[in-house]
Amino acid sequence: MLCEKCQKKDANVSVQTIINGITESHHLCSECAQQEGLFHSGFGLENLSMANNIGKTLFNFPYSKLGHAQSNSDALTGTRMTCPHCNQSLSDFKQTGLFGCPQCYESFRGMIREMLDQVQGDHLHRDSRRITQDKSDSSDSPIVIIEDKQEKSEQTAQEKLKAELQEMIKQENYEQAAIIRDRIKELEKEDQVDESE
Amino acid sequence: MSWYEKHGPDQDVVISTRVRLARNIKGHLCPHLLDKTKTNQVIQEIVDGVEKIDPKSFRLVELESLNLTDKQTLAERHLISPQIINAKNNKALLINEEEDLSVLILDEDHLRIQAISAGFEPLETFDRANKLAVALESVLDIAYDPEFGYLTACPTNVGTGLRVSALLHVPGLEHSRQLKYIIESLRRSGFTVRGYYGEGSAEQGQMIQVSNQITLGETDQDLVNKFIRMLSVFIKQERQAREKWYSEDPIRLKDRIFRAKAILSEACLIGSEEAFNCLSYLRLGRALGFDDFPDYPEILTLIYLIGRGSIQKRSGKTLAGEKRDEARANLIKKHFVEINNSRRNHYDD
Repeated sequence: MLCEKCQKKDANVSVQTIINGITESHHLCSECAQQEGLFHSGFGLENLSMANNIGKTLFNFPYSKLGHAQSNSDALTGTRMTCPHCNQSLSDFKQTGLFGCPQCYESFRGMIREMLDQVQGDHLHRDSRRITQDKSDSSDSPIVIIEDKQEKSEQTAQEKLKAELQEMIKQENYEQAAIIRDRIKELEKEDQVDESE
Repeated sequence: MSWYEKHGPDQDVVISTRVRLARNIKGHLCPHLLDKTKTNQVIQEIVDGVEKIDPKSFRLVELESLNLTDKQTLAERHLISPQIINAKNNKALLINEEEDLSVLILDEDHLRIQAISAGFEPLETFDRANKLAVALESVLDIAYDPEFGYLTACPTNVGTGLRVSALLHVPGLEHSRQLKYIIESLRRSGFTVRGYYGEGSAEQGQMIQVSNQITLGETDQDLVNKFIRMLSVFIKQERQAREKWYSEDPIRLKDRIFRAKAILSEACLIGSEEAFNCLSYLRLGRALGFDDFPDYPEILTLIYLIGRGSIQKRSGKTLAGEKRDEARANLIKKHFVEINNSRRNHYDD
Protein backbone atom coordinates (compact mmCIF):
# COMPACT_ATOMS: atom_id res chain seq x y z
CA MET A 1 0.00 0.00 0.00
CA LEU A 2 1.30 3.46 -0.93
CA CYS A 3 1.58 6.27 1.59
CA GLU A 4 -1.65 8.26 1.36
CA LYS A 5 0.23 11.56 1.68
CA CYS A 6 3.21 11.36 -0.69
CA GLN A 7 1.81 8.51 -2.82
CA LYS A 8 5.40 7.42 -3.45
CA LYS A 9 6.72 5.31 -0.64
CA ASP A 10 5.23 2.19 0.90
CA ALA A 11 3.01 2.92 3.88
CA ASN A 12 4.57 1.32 6.92
CA VAL A 13 2.86 3.23 9.70
CA SER A 14 -0.79 2.70 10.50
CA VAL A 15 -2.51 5.44 12.44
CA GLN A 16 -5.88 5.11 14.03
CA THR A 17 -7.55 8.27 15.23
CA ILE A 18 -10.61 8.40 17.42
CA ILE A 19 -12.11 11.88 17.41
CA ASN A 20 -15.51 12.42 18.98
CA GLY A 21 -16.03 8.69 18.86
CA ILE A 22 -15.39 8.45 15.09
CA THR A 23 -12.59 6.04 14.22
CA GLU A 24 -10.47 6.64 11.12
CA SER A 25 -7.47 4.69 9.82
CA HIS A 26 -4.56 6.27 7.93
CA HIS A 27 -1.55 4.68 6.30
CA LEU A 28 1.64 6.69 5.91
CA CYS A 29 5.34 6.14 5.25
CA SER A 30 7.57 6.79 8.25
CA GLU A 31 8.93 10.04 6.77
CA CYS A 32 5.48 11.54 6.19
CA ALA A 33 4.37 10.33 9.62
CA GLN A 34 7.27 12.21 11.09
CA GLN A 35 6.52 15.32 9.03
CA GLU A 36 2.97 15.17 10.28
CA GLY A 37 4.41 15.41 13.76
CA LEU A 38 2.92 12.05 14.67
CA PHE A 39 6.10 10.79 16.30
CA HIS A 40 6.55 13.96 18.25
CA SER A 41 3.02 14.61 19.38
CA GLY A 42 2.35 10.94 19.78
CA PHE A 43 5.49 9.82 21.55
CA GLY A 44 6.83 12.74 23.47
CA LEU A 45 10.37 12.69 22.15
CA GLU A 46 10.92 16.25 23.22
CA ASN A 47 10.71 14.88 26.73
CA LEU A 48 13.29 12.27 25.84
CA SER A 49 15.84 14.86 24.77
CA MET A 50 15.23 16.66 28.01
CA ALA A 51 15.68 13.41 29.86
CA ASN A 52 19.08 12.98 28.28
CA ASN A 53 20.21 16.27 29.71
CA ILE A 54 19.08 15.30 33.17
CA GLY A 55 21.07 12.14 33.46
CA LYS A 56 23.11 9.60 31.64
CA THR A 57 21.38 6.61 33.19
CA LEU A 58 19.85 5.80 29.86
CA PHE A 59 19.44 2.11 30.04
CA ASN A 60 15.97 2.15 31.53
CA PHE A 61 15.12 5.79 31.32
CA PRO A 62 13.90 6.30 27.77
CA TYR A 63 11.50 3.40 28.02
CA SER A 64 9.73 4.64 31.11
CA LYS A 65 9.73 8.22 29.83
CA LEU A 66 8.46 7.06 26.48
CA GLY A 67 5.60 5.13 27.99
CA HIS A 68 4.63 7.95 30.25
CA ALA A 69 4.65 10.51 27.47
CA GLN A 70 2.71 8.24 25.18
CA SER A 71 -0.04 7.43 27.62
CA ASN A 72 -0.57 11.15 28.17
CA SER A 73 -0.70 11.87 24.48
CA ASP A 74 -2.94 8.88 23.82
CA ALA A 75 -5.45 10.46 26.10
CA LEU A 76 -5.07 13.84 24.43
CA THR A 77 -5.13 12.91 20.75
CA GLY A 78 -6.48 9.38 20.66
CA THR A 79 -3.65 8.47 18.31
CA ARG A 80 -2.18 5.01 18.52
CA MET A 81 0.51 3.98 16.05
CA THR A 82 1.16 0.32 15.41
CA CYS A 83 3.62 -1.64 13.31
CA PRO A 84 1.63 -3.08 10.38
CA HIS A 85 3.68 -6.30 10.44
CA CYS A 86 3.23 -7.34 14.07
CA ASN A 87 0.46 -4.99 15.16
CA GLN A 88 2.46 -4.00 18.23
CA SER A 89 2.38 -0.42 19.46
CA LEU A 90 5.04 1.54 21.25
CA SER A 91 2.98 1.10 24.36
CA ASP A 92 3.57 -2.67 24.04
CA PHE A 93 7.27 -1.96 23.61
CA LYS A 94 7.21 0.09 26.78
CA GLN A 95 5.83 -2.84 28.72
CA THR A 96 8.28 -5.48 27.52
CA GLY A 97 11.29 -3.43 26.36
CA LEU A 98 11.14 -5.62 23.25
CA PHE A 99 9.99 -4.90 19.70
CA GLY A 100 7.36 -7.17 18.23
CA CYS A 101 9.25 -7.96 15.03
CA PRO A 102 12.38 -6.84 13.15
CA GLN A 103 10.17 -4.69 10.85
CA CYS A 104 9.29 -2.47 13.83
CA TYR A 105 12.59 -0.71 13.17
CA GLU A 106 11.24 0.32 9.76
CA SER A 107 7.80 1.26 11.09
CA PHE A 108 9.12 3.46 13.89
CA ARG A 109 12.34 4.54 12.18
CA GLY A 110 12.24 8.22 13.17
CA MET A 111 11.48 7.50 16.79
CA ILE A 112 14.03 4.69 16.97
CA ARG A 113 16.77 6.95 15.60
CA GLU A 114 16.27 9.34 18.47
CA MET A 115 15.93 6.56 21.02
CA LEU A 116 19.16 4.88 19.86
CA ASP A 117 21.00 8.18 20.14
CA GLN A 118 19.90 8.12 23.76
CA VAL A 119 20.49 4.45 24.53
CA GLN A 120 23.52 3.71 22.36
CA GLY A 121 24.91 7.21 21.77
CA ASP A 122 24.51 6.69 18.03
CA HIS A 123 22.04 5.31 15.50
CA LEU A 124 24.28 4.47 12.55
CA HIS A 125 25.57 0.94 12.30
CA ARG A 126 29.12 0.42 11.07
CA ASP A 127 29.60 -2.89 9.34
CA SER A 128 33.23 -4.00 9.32
CA ARG A 129 32.79 -6.02 6.12
CA ARG A 130 31.16 -3.18 4.21
CA ILE A 131 33.61 -0.56 5.50
CA THR A 132 36.64 -2.60 4.40
CA GLN A 133 35.03 -2.86 0.98
CA ASP A 134 34.35 0.90 0.84
CA LYS A 135 37.92 1.78 1.77
CA SER A 136 39.30 -0.27 -1.11
CA ASP A 137 37.17 1.39 -3.79
CA SER A 138 36.33 4.86 -2.53
CA SER A 139 39.13 6.95 -4.03
CA ASP A 140 36.60 9.49 -5.31
CA SER A 141 34.41 9.66 -2.23
CA PRO A 142 33.06 13.09 -1.24
CA ILE A 143 35.18 13.15 1.92
CA VAL A 144 38.38 13.29 -0.12
CA ILE A 145 37.05 16.21 -2.13
CA ILE A 146 36.30 18.13 1.04
CA GLU A 147 39.79 17.48 2.32
CA ASP A 148 41.30 18.80 -0.92
CA LYS A 149 39.34 22.01 -0.63
CA GLN A 150 40.43 22.47 2.96
CA GLU A 151 41.46 26.10 2.62
CA LYS A 152 39.77 27.54 5.67
CA SER A 153 39.91 26.41 9.24
CA GLU A 154 39.38 22.83 10.41
CA GLN A 155 36.15 23.95 12.06
CA THR A 156 34.72 24.84 8.63
CA ALA A 157 35.57 21.40 7.31
CA GLN A 158 33.80 19.85 10.26
CA GLU A 159 30.74 21.98 9.69
CA LYS A 160 30.67 21.01 6.03
CA LEU A 161 30.97 17.37 6.95
CA LYS A 162 28.17 17.69 9.44
CA ALA A 163 25.93 19.26 6.79
CA GLU A 164 26.87 16.50 4.40
CA LEU A 165 26.13 13.91 7.07
CA GLN A 166 22.61 15.28 7.44
CA GLU A 167 22.19 15.22 3.67
CA MET A 168 23.33 11.58 3.47
CA ILE A 169 20.93 10.60 6.26
CA LYS A 170 18.13 12.40 4.41
CA GLN A 171 19.00 10.47 1.26
CA GLU A 172 19.14 7.28 3.34
CA ASN A 173 22.71 6.72 2.18
CA TYR A 174 23.72 5.29 5.55
CA GLU A 175 26.97 3.67 4.51
CA GLN A 176 28.33 6.99 3.26
CA ALA A 177 26.89 8.71 6.34
CA ALA A 178 28.78 6.32 8.60
CA ILE A 179 32.05 7.12 6.81
CA ILE A 180 31.45 10.86 7.12
CA ARG A 181 30.47 10.49 10.76
CA ASP A 182 33.78 8.69 11.43
CA ARG A 183 35.73 11.43 9.67
CA ILE A 184 34.04 14.03 11.91
CA LYS A 185 34.98 11.99 14.96
CA GLU A 186 38.58 11.79 13.73
CA LEU A 187 38.74 15.55 13.22
CA GLU A 188 37.28 16.14 16.68
CA LYS A 189 39.86 13.78 18.15
CA GLU A 190 42.67 15.63 16.31
CA ASP A 191 41.34 18.89 17.73
CA GLN A 192 41.43 17.51 21.24
CA VAL A 193 45.01 16.31 20.77
CA ASP A 194 46.02 19.72 19.40
CA GLU A 195 44.47 21.46 22.36
CA SER A 196 46.19 19.25 24.89
CA GLU A 197 49.59 19.75 23.29
CA MET B 1 37.56 -32.56 25.24
CA SER B 2 35.34 -29.75 26.54
CA TRP B 3 36.66 -26.19 26.29
CA TYR B 4 36.88 -25.83 30.09
CA GLU B 5 39.31 -28.73 30.28
CA LYS B 6 41.78 -26.72 28.19
CA HIS B 7 44.31 -24.02 29.06
CA GLY B 8 44.02 -20.45 27.78
CA PRO B 9 46.01 -17.19 27.75
CA ASP B 10 45.98 -15.01 30.89
CA GLN B 11 44.10 -17.78 32.70
CA ASP B 12 45.51 -16.68 36.08
CA VAL B 13 43.00 -13.79 35.94
CA VAL B 14 40.56 -14.58 33.14
CA ILE B 15 38.52 -17.74 33.55
CA SER B 16 36.74 -17.59 30.22
CA THR B 17 35.87 -15.32 27.28
CA ARG B 18 32.47 -15.42 25.62
CA VAL B 19 31.10 -13.84 22.47
CA ARG B 20 27.48 -13.83 21.44
CA LEU B 21 25.95 -12.47 18.28
CA ALA B 22 22.20 -11.76 18.29
CA ARG B 23 20.34 -12.28 15.00
CA ASN B 24 16.70 -12.43 13.91
CA ILE B 25 14.93 -13.76 10.86
CA LYS B 26 12.91 -11.44 8.65
CA GLY B 27 9.18 -12.04 8.50
CA HIS B 28 8.79 -13.71 11.90
CA LEU B 29 7.52 -12.16 15.11
CA CYS B 30 10.07 -11.84 17.89
CA PRO B 31 10.21 -14.89 20.21
CA HIS B 32 8.09 -13.45 23.03
CA LEU B 33 5.12 -13.09 20.63
CA LEU B 34 5.33 -16.45 18.85
CA ASP B 35 2.57 -18.98 19.47
CA LYS B 36 3.33 -22.67 19.97
CA THR B 37 3.02 -23.63 16.30
CA LYS B 38 5.16 -20.73 15.08
CA THR B 39 7.70 -21.38 17.85
CA ASN B 40 8.31 -24.90 16.63
CA GLN B 41 8.31 -23.71 13.00
CA VAL B 42 11.05 -21.14 13.68
CA ILE B 43 13.11 -23.65 15.68
CA GLN B 44 12.88 -26.08 12.75
CA GLU B 45 13.82 -23.37 10.24
CA ILE B 46 16.97 -22.51 12.20
CA VAL B 47 17.90 -26.14 12.86
CA ASP B 48 17.54 -26.85 9.11
CA GLY B 49 19.67 -23.78 8.33
CA VAL B 50 22.48 -24.87 10.63
CA GLU B 51 22.29 -28.38 9.24
CA LYS B 52 22.75 -27.05 5.71
CA ILE B 53 26.04 -25.33 6.56
CA ASP B 54 27.33 -27.84 9.12
CA PRO B 55 25.44 -31.13 9.27
CA LYS B 56 27.74 -32.89 11.74
CA SER B 57 28.99 -30.61 14.50
CA PHE B 58 25.86 -29.81 16.47
CA ARG B 59 23.41 -31.75 18.57
CA LEU B 60 19.95 -30.38 19.26
CA VAL B 61 18.65 -29.91 22.79
CA GLU B 62 15.02 -28.78 23.09
CA LEU B 63 14.50 -27.10 26.44
CA GLU B 64 10.88 -28.25 26.57
CA SER B 65 12.07 -31.84 26.85
CA LEU B 66 14.44 -31.15 29.77
CA ASN B 67 13.70 -31.27 33.48
CA LEU B 68 14.59 -28.43 35.84
CA THR B 69 17.93 -29.95 36.85
CA ASP B 70 19.06 -30.31 33.24
CA LYS B 71 18.14 -26.70 32.51
CA GLN B 72 19.95 -25.50 35.64
CA THR B 73 23.04 -27.37 34.50
CA LEU B 74 22.94 -25.59 31.13
CA ALA B 75 22.61 -22.23 32.92
CA GLU B 76 25.51 -23.07 35.25
CA ARG B 77 27.63 -23.65 32.17
CA HIS B 78 26.52 -20.30 30.74
CA LEU B 79 24.86 -21.96 27.75
CA ILE B 80 21.43 -20.52 28.52
CA SER B 81 20.55 -17.57 30.72
CA PRO B 82 19.03 -18.42 34.13
CA GLN B 83 16.02 -16.24 33.20
CA ILE B 84 14.80 -18.69 30.56
CA ILE B 85 14.78 -21.78 32.81
CA ASN B 86 11.11 -21.22 33.63
CA ALA B 87 10.06 -19.84 30.23
CA LYS B 88 6.72 -21.22 29.04
CA ASN B 89 7.55 -21.31 25.32
CA ASN B 90 9.88 -23.90 23.87
CA LYS B 91 13.49 -22.90 23.19
CA ALA B 92 16.34 -24.89 21.75
CA LEU B 93 20.09 -25.13 21.84
CA LEU B 94 22.36 -26.44 19.12
CA ILE B 95 25.68 -27.30 20.66
CA ASN B 96 28.93 -28.82 19.46
CA GLU B 97 30.86 -31.58 21.22
CA GLU B 98 33.44 -29.29 22.85
CA GLU B 99 30.55 -27.08 24.10
CA ASP B 100 32.48 -24.04 22.85
CA LEU B 101 30.14 -23.13 19.98
CA SER B 102 26.37 -23.07 20.23
CA VAL B 103 23.25 -21.49 18.84
CA LEU B 104 20.60 -20.59 21.39
CA ILE B 105 17.27 -20.51 19.57
CA LEU B 106 14.36 -18.28 20.67
CA ASP B 107 15.80 -16.67 23.76
CA GLU B 108 15.16 -12.93 23.46
CA ASP B 109 16.12 -13.11 19.77
CA HIS B 110 15.57 -15.84 17.18
CA LEU B 111 19.26 -16.78 17.26
CA ARG B 112 22.10 -16.16 19.61
CA ILE B 113 25.33 -17.52 18.27
CA GLN B 114 27.62 -18.17 21.22
CA ALA B 115 31.33 -19.01 21.37
CA ILE B 116 33.38 -19.52 24.50
CA SER B 117 37.09 -20.08 25.22
CA ALA B 118 39.23 -20.70 28.29
CA GLY B 119 41.30 -17.69 29.36
CA PHE B 120 41.40 -14.35 27.58
CA GLU B 121 40.79 -14.98 23.87
CA PRO B 122 38.43 -12.27 22.53
CA LEU B 123 39.67 -12.24 18.92
CA GLU B 124 39.69 -15.99 18.39
CA THR B 125 36.34 -16.38 20.16
CA PHE B 126 34.75 -13.59 18.11
CA ASP B 127 36.15 -15.11 14.96
CA ARG B 128 34.53 -18.48 15.64
CA ALA B 129 31.13 -16.96 16.45
CA ASN B 130 31.34 -14.59 13.48
CA LYS B 131 32.19 -17.35 10.99
CA LEU B 132 29.07 -19.24 12.00
CA ALA B 133 26.98 -16.04 11.89
CA VAL B 134 28.24 -15.16 8.39
CA ALA B 135 27.62 -18.70 7.17
CA LEU B 136 24.08 -18.63 8.58
CA GLU B 137 23.35 -15.46 6.63
CA SER B 138 23.75 -17.48 3.45
CA VAL B 139 20.95 -19.87 4.43
CA LEU B 140 18.65 -17.74 6.61
CA ASP B 141 16.99 -14.43 5.76
CA ILE B 142 18.62 -12.47 8.59
CA ALA B 143 17.03 -9.11 9.46
CA TYR B 144 19.54 -6.38 8.62
CA ASP B 145 18.99 -2.68 8.05
CA PRO B 146 21.68 -0.48 6.43
CA GLU B 147 21.10 2.24 9.00
CA PHE B 148 20.58 0.21 12.18
CA GLY B 149 22.53 -2.97 11.38
CA TYR B 150 21.36 -6.35 12.70
CA LEU B 151 17.87 -5.90 14.11
CA THR B 152 17.26 -7.29 17.57
CA ALA B 153 14.21 -7.56 19.81
CA CYS B 154 15.76 -5.17 22.32
CA PRO B 155 17.30 -1.93 21.04
CA THR B 156 20.22 -2.34 23.46
CA ASN B 157 21.57 -5.13 21.22
CA VAL B 158 20.92 -3.67 17.77
CA GLY B 159 23.74 -2.91 15.30
CA THR B 160 26.44 -5.53 15.65
CA GLY B 161 24.35 -7.71 18.00
CA LEU B 162 27.70 -8.33 19.66
CA ARG B 163 28.29 -8.95 23.31
CA VAL B 164 31.86 -9.88 24.21
CA SER B 165 32.40 -10.76 27.84
CA ALA B 166 35.07 -12.10 30.14
CA LEU B 167 34.69 -13.88 33.45
CA LEU B 168 37.40 -12.49 35.70
CA HIS B 169 38.85 -13.72 38.96
CA VAL B 170 39.67 -10.64 41.01
CA PRO B 171 40.66 -11.53 44.61
CA GLY B 172 43.60 -9.10 44.56
CA LEU B 173 41.56 -6.05 43.61
CA GLU B 174 38.82 -7.00 46.02
CA HIS B 175 41.30 -7.36 48.89
CA SER B 176 42.94 -4.02 48.12
CA ARG B 177 39.48 -2.42 47.98
CA GLN B 178 40.23 -1.04 44.53
CA LEU B 179 37.59 -3.22 42.88
CA LYS B 180 34.65 -0.88 43.32
CA TYR B 181 36.60 2.04 41.83
CA ILE B 182 37.73 -0.04 38.88
CA ILE B 183 34.19 -1.31 38.32
CA GLU B 184 33.01 2.29 38.40
CA SER B 185 35.61 3.33 35.83
CA LEU B 186 34.73 0.36 33.61
CA ARG B 187 31.07 1.42 33.75
CA ARG B 188 31.94 4.98 32.85
CA SER B 189 33.91 3.69 29.85
CA GLY B 190 30.85 1.90 28.50
CA PHE B 191 31.28 -1.56 29.97
CA THR B 192 28.78 -3.58 31.95
CA VAL B 193 29.91 -5.39 35.10
CA ARG B 194 27.81 -8.24 36.43
CA GLY B 195 28.01 -11.12 38.86
CA TYR B 196 29.00 -14.70 38.01
CA TYR B 197 25.64 -15.77 36.61
CA GLY B 198 25.11 -12.60 34.58
CA GLU B 199 22.27 -10.14 34.68
CA GLY B 200 21.02 -9.44 38.19
CA SER B 201 23.24 -12.01 39.90
CA ALA B 202 25.50 -11.27 42.83
CA GLU B 203 29.26 -11.34 42.65
CA GLN B 204 30.30 -14.79 43.78
CA GLY B 205 33.69 -16.24 44.66
CA GLN B 206 35.47 -13.00 43.75
CA MET B 207 34.40 -13.47 40.15
CA ILE B 208 32.84 -10.83 37.92
CA GLN B 209 31.75 -10.63 34.31
CA VAL B 210 32.67 -7.64 32.21
CA SER B 211 31.09 -6.98 28.80
CA ASN B 212 30.58 -4.20 26.26
CA GLN B 213 27.43 -2.17 26.73
CA ILE B 214 27.26 -0.38 23.39
CA THR B 215 26.53 -2.55 20.36
CA LEU B 216 26.05 0.11 17.68
CA GLY B 217 28.09 2.93 16.13
CA GLU B 218 31.36 1.02 16.08
CA THR B 219 32.29 -2.03 14.02
CA ASP B 220 32.28 -5.42 15.71
CA GLN B 221 36.06 -5.55 15.35
CA ASP B 222 36.50 -2.12 16.94
CA LEU B 223 34.28 -3.18 19.84
CA VAL B 224 36.37 -6.32 20.38
CA ASN B 225 39.64 -4.35 20.17
CA LYS B 226 38.38 -1.77 22.64
CA PHE B 227 37.40 -4.59 24.99
CA ILE B 228 40.89 -6.10 24.70
CA ARG B 229 42.56 -2.75 25.44
CA MET B 230 40.40 -2.08 28.48
CA LEU B 231 40.63 -5.60 29.91
CA SER B 232 44.40 -5.84 29.40
CA VAL B 233 44.83 -2.95 31.80
CA PHE B 234 42.43 -4.58 34.24
CA ILE B 235 44.34 -7.90 34.12
CA LYS B 236 47.62 -6.12 34.90
CA GLN B 237 46.03 -4.28 37.82
CA GLU B 238 44.73 -7.55 39.28
CA ARG B 239 48.19 -9.13 39.01
CA GLN B 240 49.82 -6.14 40.70
CA ALA B 241 47.26 -6.22 43.51
CA ARG B 242 47.97 -9.92 44.12
CA GLU B 243 51.73 -9.37 44.17
CA LYS B 244 51.35 -6.50 46.60
CA TRP B 245 49.09 -8.55 48.86
CA TYR B 246 51.49 -11.49 48.88
CA SER B 247 54.56 -9.32 49.50
CA GLU B 248 52.92 -7.36 52.32
CA ASP B 249 51.08 -10.12 54.16
CA PRO B 250 52.31 -13.52 52.98
CA ILE B 251 51.48 -15.56 56.10
CA ARG B 252 47.87 -14.51 56.37
CA LEU B 253 47.28 -14.91 52.65
CA LYS B 254 48.86 -18.38 52.67
CA ASP B 255 46.78 -19.26 55.71
CA ARG B 256 43.56 -18.40 53.85
CA ILE B 257 44.61 -20.30 50.76
CA PHE B 258 45.69 -23.46 52.59
CA ARG B 259 42.62 -23.39 54.83
CA ALA B 260 40.47 -23.24 51.70
CA LYS B 261 42.34 -26.20 50.25
CA ALA B 262 41.90 -28.14 53.50
CA ILE B 263 38.16 -27.45 53.60
CA LEU B 264 37.72 -28.58 50.00
CA SER B 265 39.69 -31.79 50.52
CA GLU B 266 38.27 -32.71 53.94
CA ALA B 267 34.78 -31.21 54.45
CA CYS B 268 31.82 -33.58 54.76
CA LEU B 269 29.17 -30.92 54.08
CA ILE B 270 29.73 -27.87 51.92
CA GLY B 271 27.28 -25.30 50.53
CA SER B 272 27.75 -23.84 47.08
CA GLU B 273 28.75 -20.40 48.35
CA GLU B 274 31.47 -21.73 50.64
CA ALA B 275 32.70 -24.09 47.94
CA PHE B 276 32.85 -21.22 45.46
CA ASN B 277 34.86 -19.06 47.84
CA CYS B 278 37.27 -21.88 48.68
CA LEU B 279 37.77 -22.63 44.97
CA SER B 280 38.53 -18.96 44.46
CA TYR B 281 41.37 -19.16 47.02
CA LEU B 282 42.52 -22.43 45.51
CA ARG B 283 42.78 -20.66 42.16
CA LEU B 284 44.74 -17.85 43.74
CA GLY B 285 47.12 -20.43 45.27
CA ARG B 286 47.63 -21.91 41.81
CA ALA B 287 48.32 -18.43 40.38
CA LEU B 288 50.89 -17.77 43.10
CA GLY B 289 52.63 -20.98 42.08
CA PHE B 290 52.10 -23.08 45.22
CA ASP B 291 53.06 -26.74 44.90
CA ASP B 292 50.47 -29.47 44.53
CA PHE B 293 47.59 -27.15 43.72
CA PRO B 294 45.14 -28.28 41.05
CA ASP B 295 45.60 -26.67 37.65
CA TYR B 296 43.22 -24.04 36.20
CA PRO B 297 41.20 -26.44 34.01
CA GLU B 298 40.78 -28.80 36.96
CA ILE B 299 39.51 -25.96 39.14
CA LEU B 300 37.12 -24.73 36.42
CA THR B 301 35.81 -28.27 35.98
CA LEU B 302 35.12 -28.35 39.72
CA ILE B 303 33.35 -24.97 39.56
CA TYR B 304 31.05 -26.38 36.90
CA LEU B 305 30.45 -29.61 38.81
CA ILE B 306 29.43 -28.10 42.14
CA GLY B 307 26.47 -26.03 40.93
CA ARG B 308 23.05 -26.95 42.26
CA GLY B 309 21.88 -28.35 38.92
CA SER B 310 25.08 -30.23 38.12
CA ILE B 311 25.22 -31.91 41.56
CA GLN B 312 21.66 -33.20 41.23
CA LYS B 313 22.10 -34.23 37.61
CA ARG B 314 25.12 -36.28 38.62
CA SER B 315 23.31 -38.02 41.46
CA GLY B 316 20.30 -38.65 39.23
CA LYS B 317 17.76 -37.35 41.73
CA THR B 318 16.49 -34.19 43.40
CA LEU B 319 18.49 -33.50 46.57
CA ALA B 320 17.35 -31.20 49.35
CA GLY B 321 19.66 -28.83 51.34
CA GLU B 322 21.98 -30.97 53.45
CA LYS B 323 21.91 -33.98 51.13
CA ARG B 324 23.06 -31.69 48.34
CA ASP B 325 25.85 -30.25 50.50
CA GLU B 326 26.97 -33.78 51.34
CA ALA B 327 26.97 -34.83 47.68
CA ARG B 328 28.94 -31.66 46.83
CA ALA B 329 31.57 -32.33 49.54
CA ASN B 330 31.97 -35.95 48.43
CA LEU B 331 32.31 -34.95 44.80
CA ILE B 332 35.02 -32.38 45.56
CA LYS B 333 36.93 -34.83 47.78
CA LYS B 334 36.77 -37.49 45.10
CA HIS B 335 38.12 -35.03 42.54
CA PHE B 336 40.98 -34.03 44.80
CA VAL B 337 41.98 -37.69 45.09
CA GLU B 338 41.75 -38.11 41.31
CA ILE B 339 43.75 -34.94 40.68
CA ASN B 340 46.47 -36.07 43.08
CA ASN B 341 46.57 -39.51 41.52
CA SER B 342 46.91 -38.25 37.99
CA ARG B 343 49.06 -35.21 38.72
CA ARG B 344 50.49 -33.92 35.55
CA ASN B 345 53.29 -31.45 35.05
CA HIS B 346 52.16 -27.98 35.86
CA TYR B 347 51.50 -25.72 32.96
CA ASP B 348 53.05 -22.29 33.29
CA ASP B 349 51.98 -19.48 31.03
